[in-house]
Amino acid sequence: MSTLRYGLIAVGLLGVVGFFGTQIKALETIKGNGQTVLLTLRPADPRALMMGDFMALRYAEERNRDLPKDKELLAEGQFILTLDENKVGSFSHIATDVKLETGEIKLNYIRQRRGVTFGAPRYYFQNGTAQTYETAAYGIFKVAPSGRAILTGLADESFKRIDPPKN
Amino acid sequence: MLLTDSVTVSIDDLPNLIEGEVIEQSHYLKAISFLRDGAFWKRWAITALLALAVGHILSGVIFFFAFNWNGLGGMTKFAIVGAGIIASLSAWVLAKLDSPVGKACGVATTVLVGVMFAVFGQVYQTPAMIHTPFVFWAILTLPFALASRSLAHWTVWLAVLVVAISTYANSGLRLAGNGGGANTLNVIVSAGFIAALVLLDKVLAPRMTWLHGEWFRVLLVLGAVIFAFAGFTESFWERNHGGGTLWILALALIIGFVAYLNYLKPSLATLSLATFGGFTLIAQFGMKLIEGSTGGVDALFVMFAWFGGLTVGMVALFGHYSRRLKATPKEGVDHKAEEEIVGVKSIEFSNYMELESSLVTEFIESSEGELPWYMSVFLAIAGILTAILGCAFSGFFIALFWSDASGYLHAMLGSFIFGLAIVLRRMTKSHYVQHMLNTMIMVGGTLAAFGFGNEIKNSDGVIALLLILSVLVFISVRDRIMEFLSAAAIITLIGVELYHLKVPMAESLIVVISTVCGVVLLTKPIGKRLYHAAGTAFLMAPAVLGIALVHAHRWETLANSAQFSDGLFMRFISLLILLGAVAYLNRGKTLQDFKPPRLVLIPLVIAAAFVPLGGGSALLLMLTGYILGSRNLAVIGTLLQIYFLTMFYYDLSLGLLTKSIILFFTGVMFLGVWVFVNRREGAAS
Repeated sequence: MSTLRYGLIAVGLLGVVGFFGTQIKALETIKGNGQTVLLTLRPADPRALMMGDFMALRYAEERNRDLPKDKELLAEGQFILTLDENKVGSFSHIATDVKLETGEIKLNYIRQRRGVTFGAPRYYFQNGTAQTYETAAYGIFKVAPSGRAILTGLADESFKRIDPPKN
Repeated sequence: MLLTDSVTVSIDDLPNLIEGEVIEQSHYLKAISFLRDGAFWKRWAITALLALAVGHILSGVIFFFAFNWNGLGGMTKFAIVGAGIIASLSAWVLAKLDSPVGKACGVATTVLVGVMFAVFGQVYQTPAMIHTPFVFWAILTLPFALASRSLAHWTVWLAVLVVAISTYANSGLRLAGNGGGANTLNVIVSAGFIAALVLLDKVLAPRMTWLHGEWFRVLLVLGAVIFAFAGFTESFWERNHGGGTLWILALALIIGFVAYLNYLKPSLATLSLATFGGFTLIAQFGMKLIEGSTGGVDALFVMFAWFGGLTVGMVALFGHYSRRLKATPKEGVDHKAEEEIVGVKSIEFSNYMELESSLVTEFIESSEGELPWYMSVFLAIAGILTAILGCAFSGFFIALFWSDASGYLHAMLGSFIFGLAIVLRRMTKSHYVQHMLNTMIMVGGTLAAFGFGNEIKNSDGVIALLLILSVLVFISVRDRIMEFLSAAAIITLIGVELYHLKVPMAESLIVVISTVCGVVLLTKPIGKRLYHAAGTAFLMAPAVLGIALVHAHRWETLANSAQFSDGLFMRFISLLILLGAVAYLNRGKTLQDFKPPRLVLIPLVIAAAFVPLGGGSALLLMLTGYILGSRNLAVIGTLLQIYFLTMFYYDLSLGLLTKSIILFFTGVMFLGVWVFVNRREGAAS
């Protein structure tokens, strides 16, 4: 019985190490090699359990007027965004098998009751530094060719990244 | 002699013994100190101390990472938490898997995996869906739960699982427009809790003693009831909009569950909880009956009758459970574990108290047992709902026949109902009638107060009248629930009036008044009566006020917003009254017999100084339970303490880093005290 219990603990440890190891590696790859895209913000901010202070984010493209009606959207899929000269993305169409044109990017979405989410509804920041991010206008994403995206920072109206304050 | 030997006396018998003049009022504390299960409370205190230490240290770690320090890079944070996980796992193995320290380290590992998810979320600004980390947290820590032999560890894991499932149902499914899927999931989870309980009862618990814990069974029943309620309610009210018939399945599930608990594994706590769960489902049929009506007198009558009927039905069922489980002990039912009341033989008690043993035995044999407190609470909730509907129905009914009826007419009728119900309540012994009359007392009192209030149009006058009516009920109705409710009403009315008159330091006045009333009523019989329920209500009042202030701190008209976080003088008064109360509860004892020992009391008081208002009272409830040997008070205090620790996280007066340091060092201090106490106990034994 004891062997089984120690075995379970070992399995648990392997699971934790394996899960976080693969996830961190995948996300670090996107962070380093992913394509940059900026999405227009509509912010709000409270405190999350265990994760600290954050700014709740909504993106204009998640509720774009040109989006197909809710019922016509698949529960999960990909948007094609067109990037302007500042790398600000705007909705073009739902992804098909057709190859991407120059200046286009593929981004994964999950359907919500209203509109969709790109998977970065919050920006977490150091407790007590909320004021720094008040000028945020865009979310800066790094996007993998697969369409998986991570939010890496916020930018102001002049597309400049807002750096966290130094301690 | 044989009769005397078989009869036991417990702390719960004391109120009746005092009321029956078997024990003198002045000997109450002496009787408590004899009947209090010293060995149990010593174990409880040592375990609670270790839990406090681990809880504070882990909270410190959680708060530190929630601070999200820019100075630490993402990989450094992962390395620190990862090292913490490996360290706690190693400590679990090295300290022996089933030792108290080992078990605590096992729980710490599970919590630290959650911290890892929090840090992961901060570094990569994830997740897309709030349920994702909780789902993986539950999956990844399942092997640890399986390896542990600790109900506390399983409770933590189940809490993570419940959060994972409920957030998935609400954000993953319902938010994506799949309400039917969310309802189905809720019902499946309810069934899962029931299956887990059956597995525990029939397969696991008979083989493993560490799984014997009635509180854990109650927890599983609570899970089953809550998820069945969620699945039923959503499906039932959406049925005209595609909600389907899932509610029938949820209802059948709860009815089947009650039948299982009744026939195959009966225990009063689980049976009454599941039955009350059934009540919350069936009560909704009454509301459905009047759906679409304009809410006139007929609709109110239907609702009043429906709820009244259900309450009577519940009284009947509870009476049946109570009689059956007391009269016919079944094989395989661990009644000692179920009731968790430890008593001593009547003859030993009589000798210690210098009483005639036959007198004590005969009195206990002849006295009618009351329903357990939780049954009374469920009946009170049902009774209050019925009373509210009764008030509304009476008001509409009068208005229907006398459209120009003055408030005085309502008041006269209310006073008549109130007075008559009290007189009848004092005369009756039947549980059915008692609960219906309790409802009528509430209906009559409310009608009278608002009738007069409508005429005199003076809020002070209404408060004074309600206060008089509450005091009348308090004194004249010998019923635990009515005593609790009237005491709660008295302190609430005093509080409302203090706020209304804008009395400075109103919160501190409430803390002082309620704490003094609470400890006195819990330890000193007045006349021939011990106001235990009222004492509990008074002692809970500051904590409830603290909760109200936490949630209403932005309502500037009700309270100054600063009072949630600041008010150092107020906290000082709160701590002073806490120390005074502990000293009062220990009156007549030498310093060596002081409970808890000063070495434990000092860090407890320091810890209480940091949590929001009400945290001190939660601690006092725990300590009162410990000193007077009342498990109910200790449990209420512990739950409130956990709540205030959680609320400390959301308190904006201090930075998360400062709070993290406070919690961490307080935890280390508790750990030091625990090590010292544990070694001393080890040396003594």
